[in-house]
Amino acid sequence: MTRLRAPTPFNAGLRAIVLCVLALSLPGCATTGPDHDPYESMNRSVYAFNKALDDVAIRPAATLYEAITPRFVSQAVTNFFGNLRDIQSVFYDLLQGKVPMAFGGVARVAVNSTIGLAGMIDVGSEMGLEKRNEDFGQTMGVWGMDSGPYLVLPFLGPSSVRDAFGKGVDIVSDPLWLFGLGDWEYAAIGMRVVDDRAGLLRADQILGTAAIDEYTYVRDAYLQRRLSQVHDGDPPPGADAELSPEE
Amino acid sequence: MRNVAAALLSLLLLSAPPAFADSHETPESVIRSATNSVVERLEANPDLSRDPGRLYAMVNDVVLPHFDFNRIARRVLGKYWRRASDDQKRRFISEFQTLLVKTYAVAVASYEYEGIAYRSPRSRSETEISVPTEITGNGGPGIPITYELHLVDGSWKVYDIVVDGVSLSLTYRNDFRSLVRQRGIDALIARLMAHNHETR
Repeated sequence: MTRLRAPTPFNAGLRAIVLCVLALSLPGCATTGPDHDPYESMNRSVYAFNKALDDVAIRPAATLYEAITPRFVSQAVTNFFGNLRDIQSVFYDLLQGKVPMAFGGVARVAVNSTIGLAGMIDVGSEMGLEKRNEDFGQTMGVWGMDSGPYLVLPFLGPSSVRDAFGKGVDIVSDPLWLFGLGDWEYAAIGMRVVDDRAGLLRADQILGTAAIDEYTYVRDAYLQRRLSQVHDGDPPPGADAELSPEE
Repeated sequence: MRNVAAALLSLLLLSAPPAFADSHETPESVIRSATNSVVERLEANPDLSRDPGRLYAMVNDVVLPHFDFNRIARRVLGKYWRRASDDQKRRFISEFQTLLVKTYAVAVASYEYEGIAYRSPRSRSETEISVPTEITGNGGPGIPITYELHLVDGSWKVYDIVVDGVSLSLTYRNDFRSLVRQRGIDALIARLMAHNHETR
């Protein structure tokens, strides 16, 4: 027996996810934005959803966290998660063929995990062992893969087709899973989200001043920054030309 | 009589020790002295960072002489810059300058930093150079900031600031150009004006 259901309005997030899947399976159905942002209208709704989520939950949590946590504690938390990410960076540096950097990364993780009390103190940086923020999206970039269209992911924020896939690999290969602590893992993930967001609180004010249209500002900054990261901070001159072609 | 004195004075100044001459100014020293002067004034007057109006005026005074806004505007607007009238150019620069200096002021005031490290400058050509710096923070990783300068009439002027791979000016390029394409440069100027007014 068929039951007639009143058409409940999708909430913004669900609609965004559905749109996301649709857009990915039907490339070319929503080509309205500039070249690197053909899914602009979908992206804008996901952006609005993320922003609403940030307004009601994540930013308030991060603000509270920063207010009640002594500086050395929050720094230790940031460093702890940073050390886990450094482990991933070692593998990504290897995949990119940057062997000396990978060795530097191993030394860094070794020093920070021991003398640095399980990563809470960044002794490595003091010793001149530079922090490498590598991820799988960048690794694919180094292999010559273009970022592809810009994508805003629900919950995860600015990304691209390449980087969204990279993010999936980053999540699966996250050393946090090795701890196998059940509930603690989820607590740790929550903690990391809050810690990451707290690190961006100051950027909010800058963004508010700088951005005329926040969506396009974040998008164009994201694409530039990723290009720069793929080239380890030194993109070849004119490499960003395709991000905004001379008309 | 006063004119003669002024002429004599300027002659004296021109023959002053070469340390004061433009030709002895290196790109790095331009950045160093402007940055130091912003930091010193902030330290001497800590409540500046809570008073956006005065903070902006201070940063404006210090950094403005070292920027080439003509070049910045040309890079951002491309062909639309060449097509704009002199009056539109003047009004655009005035608003865009306010926006960029304000952003820079907010950024400078909001970061806790221990110091600034200067990396070796990289020449792009005889008249263009990048000065990479890094703001070293509180135990966290530093923020790389690169200043792009070029030589105009014997002095080095900044035409871009790249923060962690993101250009302070080029990030506006797509947005501005598409607005100008759709609604014209006056609409862009009006929007900048409204935005600057909001963030005052």
